[in-house]
Amino acid sequence: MRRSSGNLGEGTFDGMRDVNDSHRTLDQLIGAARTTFDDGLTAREQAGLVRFEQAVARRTLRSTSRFGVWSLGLVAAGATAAVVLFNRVDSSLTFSVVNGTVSDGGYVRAKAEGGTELQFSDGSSLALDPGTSTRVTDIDAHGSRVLLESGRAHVRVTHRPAAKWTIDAGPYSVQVVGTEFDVRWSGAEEVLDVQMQRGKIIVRGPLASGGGLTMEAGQHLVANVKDGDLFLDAVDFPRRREDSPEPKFVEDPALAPSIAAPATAPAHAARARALAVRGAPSPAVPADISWSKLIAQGNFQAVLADAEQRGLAHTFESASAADLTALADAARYVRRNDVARRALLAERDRFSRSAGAREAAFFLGGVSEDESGVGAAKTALEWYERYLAESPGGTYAAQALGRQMILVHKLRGSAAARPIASEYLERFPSGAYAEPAKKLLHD
Amino acid sequence: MRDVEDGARVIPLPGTVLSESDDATLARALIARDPRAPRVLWQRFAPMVFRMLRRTLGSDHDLDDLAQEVFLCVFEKVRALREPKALKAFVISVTSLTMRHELRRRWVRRWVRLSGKTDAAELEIVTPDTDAREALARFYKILDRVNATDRAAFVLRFMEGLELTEVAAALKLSLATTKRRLARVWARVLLLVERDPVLVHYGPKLVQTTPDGEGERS
Repeated sequence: MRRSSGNLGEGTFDGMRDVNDSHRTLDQLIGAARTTFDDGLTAREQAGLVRFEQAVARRTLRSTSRFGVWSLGLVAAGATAAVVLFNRVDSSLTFSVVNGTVSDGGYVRAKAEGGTELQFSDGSSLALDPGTSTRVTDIDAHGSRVLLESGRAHVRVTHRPAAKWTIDAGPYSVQVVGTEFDVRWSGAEEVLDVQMQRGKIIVRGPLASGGGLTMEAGQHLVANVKDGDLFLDAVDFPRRREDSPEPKFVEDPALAPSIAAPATAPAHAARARALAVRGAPSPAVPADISWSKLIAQGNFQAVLADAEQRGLAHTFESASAADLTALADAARYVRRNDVARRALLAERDRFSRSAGAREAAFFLGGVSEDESGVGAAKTALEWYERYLAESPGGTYAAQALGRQMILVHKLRGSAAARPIASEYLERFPSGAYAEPAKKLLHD
Repeated sequence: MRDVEDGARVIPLPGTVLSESDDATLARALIARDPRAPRVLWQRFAPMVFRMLRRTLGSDHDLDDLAQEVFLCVFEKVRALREPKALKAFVISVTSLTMRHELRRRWVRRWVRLSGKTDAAELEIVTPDTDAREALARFYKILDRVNATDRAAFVLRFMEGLELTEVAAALKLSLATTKRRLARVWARVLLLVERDPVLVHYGPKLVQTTPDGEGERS
């Protein structure tokens, strides 16, 4: 600490103790605070990165939209001048929505059943899966900017000179010239899935370079923001919507045998929950929306309210693995740790062989860490250790090992934590806990 | 790219280049709205921001929201940064302002509800040493009695170890005012520690955890 007590004034001395004792006590209190509140981040704090990126994406989009309004004004003014001077008009595109609703702000919601389609006046179209939410944020003579809030869309853009189309999905933006592809964004999983059919696009966003990632016909991109994975499948994977049954998302890998993601990318297996097929929605869920979708929309309270209406005990005993996962997520997000813990324990108990059950151990660690006290810290540590034992190469292995290191350091001291720090650096040299691990080894 | 299975390829993540860049490069990337930059900003500064917030406010659920405020503010205002090399100081400054705002907000909340419940009462401290835990809880209760600017200055100087000029810059105060405030807050906290019936007998036996984890009693 770069401080000299001498030039900071002396406190009132009460005559009971030497003033140096008081300074020493205060120094020790400050030292204890420094040690207690160190650089380690909890799992929830680390998850703030995704939240931040989403907020940045929304703000960037809003800026673009505001700019777009001005641009539209300028375009309109320019067009008027052109009419006067050249008797020629270059008008903006228009669009209509088939089998869906659209608000004044351009928000388009696909109906729960049947195909919903945005049809643009230049022949371009977006076919939306049931329940998909989109927003037309900008439109001009050259194209449009569409935000895919959640769900999946089949995009077909008519190639024209100077055409300019952008599809935003979470923190990603897909720049299109003239092409056809499927794009899916899952807010809950933080997964972008793009399947090219023809043409060329440029994807920009986390894990894609500043100039963007160019994709061509037949390529398949899966970017998992949460895990920091980005995979480009080079194998041709042609599939037209009209050629085969539509894949939808599912939470239960057991229900997703055949159309799960192509077996070419190793990360696909780990993402079975995000990419596989969903069975029928849970009967207690409102007819047009599942808990997973409510979560993707950020409507966590609705999930909890629905579960409470059904009866929590009944839900824990009878809900599907997917719904238990969704309920646990919703409860964690609104800090209902009691419900989250019970849902996660139920998932481990009832679906003990599933990947979700193994992942539940990691989240149980996080739930325990959110609580205060040494007992909670010990419980959290046990859950992280269990997760690492059950899933040594699991999705959350890096975070679990990092948290294990931090907790062992707090509970048992540096000597006990050093072997974990070494293992962490060996396995995840660029991981989020690399700096604390190095510090631990060098101190 | 390297092949993995059946022609699938893993793309080397170009973000790692930016993540290894210096603060000035990162600041320029943020100003240019490079889509990789927000992630690197977070990864580089989140430990520091959360640490500062925790040391000022204690472990609290609201810290997530406050950290979001800090990073979004940095992202929005970074264009005003005259010297890109000063990105870290800029983040510290935004964090400090957020801390002060939050302290004032909590003070108003306490005053309005008149419950007498201090933030320190809600403090979550995970440490195996019960003596240290109690001492820290009482210490933060004392800090609750200090005004927001003085408390922020106290944390920046004595817990974060910033230079006087850095504290002054972060709080947008003159150097002289910063020195006066620090002297005042040190004396006030010292006085309150001396008058605390537990801490006054407690200090000599307080556990100071050493870097190797073996506590030593002074």
